[in-house]
Amino acid sequence: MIEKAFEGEKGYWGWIALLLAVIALGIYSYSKQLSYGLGVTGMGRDISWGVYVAQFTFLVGVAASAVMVVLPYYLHDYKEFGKIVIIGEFLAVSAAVICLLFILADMGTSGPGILCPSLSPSKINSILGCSGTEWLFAAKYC
Amino acid sequence: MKKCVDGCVKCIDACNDKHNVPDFDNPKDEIKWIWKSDYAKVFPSKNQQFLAKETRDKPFLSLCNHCADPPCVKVCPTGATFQMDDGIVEMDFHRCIGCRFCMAACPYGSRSFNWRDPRPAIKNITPEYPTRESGVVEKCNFCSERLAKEQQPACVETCPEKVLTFGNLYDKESEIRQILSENTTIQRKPELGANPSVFYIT
Repeated sequence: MIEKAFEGEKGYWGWIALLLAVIALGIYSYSKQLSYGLGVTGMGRDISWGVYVAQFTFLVGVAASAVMVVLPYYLHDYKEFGKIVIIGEFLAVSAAVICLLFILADMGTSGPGILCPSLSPSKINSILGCSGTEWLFAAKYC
Repeated sequence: MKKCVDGCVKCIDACNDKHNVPDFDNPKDEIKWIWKSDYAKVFPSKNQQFLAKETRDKPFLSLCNHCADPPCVKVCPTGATFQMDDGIVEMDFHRCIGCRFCMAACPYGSRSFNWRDPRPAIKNITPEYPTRESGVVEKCNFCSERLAKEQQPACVETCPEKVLTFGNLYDKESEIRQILSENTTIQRKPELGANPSVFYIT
């Protein structure tokens, strides 16, 4: 399936180039955030959660709905939907990955310690801990 | 609070100095441990009609309430903020990942996030207390580092008018319980059920 991503018309490669440019801008901005602190986003005392969290919640919905398109095919045996299932699952995986990246970008401190504590069973009652665990499950199964 | 002098900020200055609280001079990045605010902001549910002018116009001291049932501790995914055996809600800056969930949970706005490196904005560094890095949350800790040395919290000790009293709420013989039994006091947003441990005599 993935080999289909490496062939396409001029317009397709233009789109890929545009996406790569956006990714490069993201990496550059994240490096700014690492050196200055989260204040560079414009968030402050009064607005402590911003577009990062908004994007996370939006993409959670995208990932969930992208998985749901398998239902007509598998549960209702509606063969027409078969074609969209694979695309849906690719979308679900990428949306789940972007979700995790947004959460990582929203954390004040960087480093591998960020994800590990959110998985510690003692703090599973925390909503953030739960969503972290949930998303690793989602990424694994979809 | 009747004894508190308008315009006096000695308790705030003492706290900021003892805890290396940075001064950014900009409300967006501000770090606040103890500060003065309008009555209507501190007690939004008790801002009734025809309030005595003296109370209405008084700047009230605002700080972490060290709730008996703290919502910030419940939501923290890493256990960086926790309740100690004496009831004080403490912060472990090293465990904080900066998710700011506690700030969303705190009903009193008592928590501040380091939106940028605080160290250049500290006027004079007090080596007895750690400075923080960018990206962690901090708040009033009731001077637990001073309590361990049997000293009173810096704000209580500094106040020239003896406005503030600190003590053990669970000791029936303590001075604080004596004062609470003799005066009418109010708590901030008690209807939320967090059981704040800061009481105000208005």
